[in-house]
Amino acid sequence: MTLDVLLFAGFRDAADGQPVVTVELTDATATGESVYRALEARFPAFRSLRGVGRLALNLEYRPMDSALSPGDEVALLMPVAGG
Amino acid sequence: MSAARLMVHLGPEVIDPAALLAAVADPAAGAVDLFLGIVRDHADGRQVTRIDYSAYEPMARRLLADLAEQVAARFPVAAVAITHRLGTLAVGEASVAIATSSAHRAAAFEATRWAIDRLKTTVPIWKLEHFSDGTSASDEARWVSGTFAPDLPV
Repeated sequence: MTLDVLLFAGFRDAADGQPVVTVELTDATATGESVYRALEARFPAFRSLRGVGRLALNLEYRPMDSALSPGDEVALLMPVAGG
Repeated sequence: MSAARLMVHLGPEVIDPAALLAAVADPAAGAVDLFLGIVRDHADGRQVTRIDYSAYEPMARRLLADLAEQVAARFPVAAVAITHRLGTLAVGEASVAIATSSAHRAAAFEATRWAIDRLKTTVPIWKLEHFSDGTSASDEARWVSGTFAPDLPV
């Protein structure tokens, strides 16, 4: 399954400044974990950020092991710093 | 009391405190409380020159709306207005505003406090802080480390 992953702040920097990265997921059930592994394989900087971020699925925070479907809006969020 | 009026905004526009106070005013409300978060000139011993605010906008708008609803569910407020700015802000500019109104002051104070504390650990907004070592040529930037509320799914 192919998915676009939206990246922000430190995760965007880790992906060489790309706001969206398209990942190819080969697991039988693709999850947020699958997405993270795909990003780590492509961008080494993601390895040192493991555990820091949260998954956003269709505009909601969801557990990293949530199953993903084609067409889902997926984002990886760094700890938030509004205000 | 009728349902609380909820107003949220996310955008580059300069925050207008008078407009926010007017927006939450209510004949039944004897108290209005306004919090402004302001860009300050220092952080971690460094001199801050400006801050760039960015967001995952569709999700941030949704969470700001959810936050206003949660405030009204927890506190007997007549109205809630929450605004967060995006873009480059100079020292002294307001980045966030929370205004609440209630019949008596306790609820307005507590609602405003709860709202800003919750916003800061849930809404997907980030800040890139530009700082200087004091010389005119110096301009470095770093993402301010944020925090996730402990109850968010992991």
